[in-house]
Amino acid sequence: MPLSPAIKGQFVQLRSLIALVLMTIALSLLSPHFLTTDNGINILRQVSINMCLSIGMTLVILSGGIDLSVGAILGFAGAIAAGLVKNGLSIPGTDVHLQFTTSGAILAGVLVGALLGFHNGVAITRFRLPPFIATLGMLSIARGLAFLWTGGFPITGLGADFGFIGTGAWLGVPLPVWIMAAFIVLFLVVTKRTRFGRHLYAVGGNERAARLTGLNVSRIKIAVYTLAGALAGVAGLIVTARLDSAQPNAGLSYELDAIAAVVIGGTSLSGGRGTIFGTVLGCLIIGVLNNGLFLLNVPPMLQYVIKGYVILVAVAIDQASAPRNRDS
Amino acid sequence: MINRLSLPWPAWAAAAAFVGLLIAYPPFRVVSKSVAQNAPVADGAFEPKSFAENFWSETLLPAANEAADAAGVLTALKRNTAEALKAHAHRVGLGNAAYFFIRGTGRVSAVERSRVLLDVDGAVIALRTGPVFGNTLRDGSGLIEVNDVPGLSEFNALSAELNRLVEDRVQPALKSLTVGATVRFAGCAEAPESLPASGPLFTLVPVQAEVLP
Repeated sequence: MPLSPAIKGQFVQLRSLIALVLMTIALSLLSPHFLTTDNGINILRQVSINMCLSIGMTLVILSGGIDLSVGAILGFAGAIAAGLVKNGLSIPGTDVHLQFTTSGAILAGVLVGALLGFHNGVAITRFRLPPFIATLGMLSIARGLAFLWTGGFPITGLGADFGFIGTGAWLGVPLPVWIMAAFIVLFLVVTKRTRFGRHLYAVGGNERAARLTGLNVSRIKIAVYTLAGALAGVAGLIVTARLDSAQPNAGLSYELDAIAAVVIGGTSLSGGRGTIFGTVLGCLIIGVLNNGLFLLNVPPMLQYVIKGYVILVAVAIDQASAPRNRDS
Repeated sequence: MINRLSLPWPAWAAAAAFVGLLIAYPPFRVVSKSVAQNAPVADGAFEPKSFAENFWSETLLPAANEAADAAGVLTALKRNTAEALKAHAHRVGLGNAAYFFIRGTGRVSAVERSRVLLDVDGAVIALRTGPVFGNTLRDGSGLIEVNDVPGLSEFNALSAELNRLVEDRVQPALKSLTVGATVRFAGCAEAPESLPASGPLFTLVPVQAEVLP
């Protein structure tokens, strides 16, 4: 018996949640170590980095774009913060040396991420580069800058204050999880309850129509890429603080996990359709999948294959459930 | 222009709060470069450079004088690789890689871009003369382990510093080597699990090297 459109619609809305619940039940039955408090906190801590990237990626994809540079920006922002907190900054040609506080270095890391995101936005809107190309270029630029800044070597010994971002806890919950939760709430509100959020959906849904209704599409897109960059900067700080080390190649391929989480969460790659809540579920699905495959001793090479198929199936479901002729 | 600046009041409030925080908690302090260079290292902070210097002079060099005889190890390696590894190598880490720490004398049989080939009693090994990468020296000596430093990143930083010391202090003596020269050496190498079909048996990262007259 065919499903009624209403039930089908509900299923589409909840499919990520259903998938997550089914995975959790299955893994709980397969591994006695899965459904424990420690493992739950461990999963949340692990997904916090991808969550920051994925929230930014959701904004970008909702606007009809894509950002391949977030992993590289993560690496560079983390390296900037680590370098500033460890060594400070000498101004060439002067006797001036800036000794950064921990909060100053954190701020600088986020600002550098935002700046590179702004660069992406300007390249896409002012110079009309396709987002794929503009952010692919930034991927290379940010990675190169990270290697130049670090000299190719890790920056270590960043101190307890800086390390607290990645390893500290409040009320028994790791700080990265609190940071993640704060961003989830903030961007749930931004996308659902603010004018900027409505404009974002409008631009991603039909850019031409949005422009004709008087929206400043370029400004919205620049803001979106800047936010994605800033969030990548935050993710870079968490990674660096957690490892007490800034690696120039940190964040390699992280953009793919972020895109996967967004797509699994039901956000359409063609823009204008999707939610932050869906992305949260997508991140959790990837985190639970990674953790479960590890607990079940699945060989790492096979894990890549499984994750690849999960993404393909998610996109296939998205395509099958997408409304037809939505731009007409 | 005024219209462009007409942001909602929460944005202005957030901006004002942000500026206030920057004034209350300045993100950086301006000092002269000389003050910055003489700033003391925080108590308990791990400094890979000084740690590597101390390890090099107080532990590694004395141990190099007591390292296994290269000729004996190479002879054993050619006779029975598995037995030679069991007798002369030590294994490290999850990868269970085997390492030799040896000393001996060899004659230069070839000079290449980043290494020279040494003939040691009929066995050919390579001596690294170019940039040093990896953890061969740190792990090959068997004198230090990850628990001796605060963490894994420090352990890796130590390895990088030891490699720099090889480049700065040992390799300059090997830059003008010519075929036929005799070299006294000590160093570490990752041991082969089976004999290579051709080429040197392994590549040694030198801790000591001296060209004999």
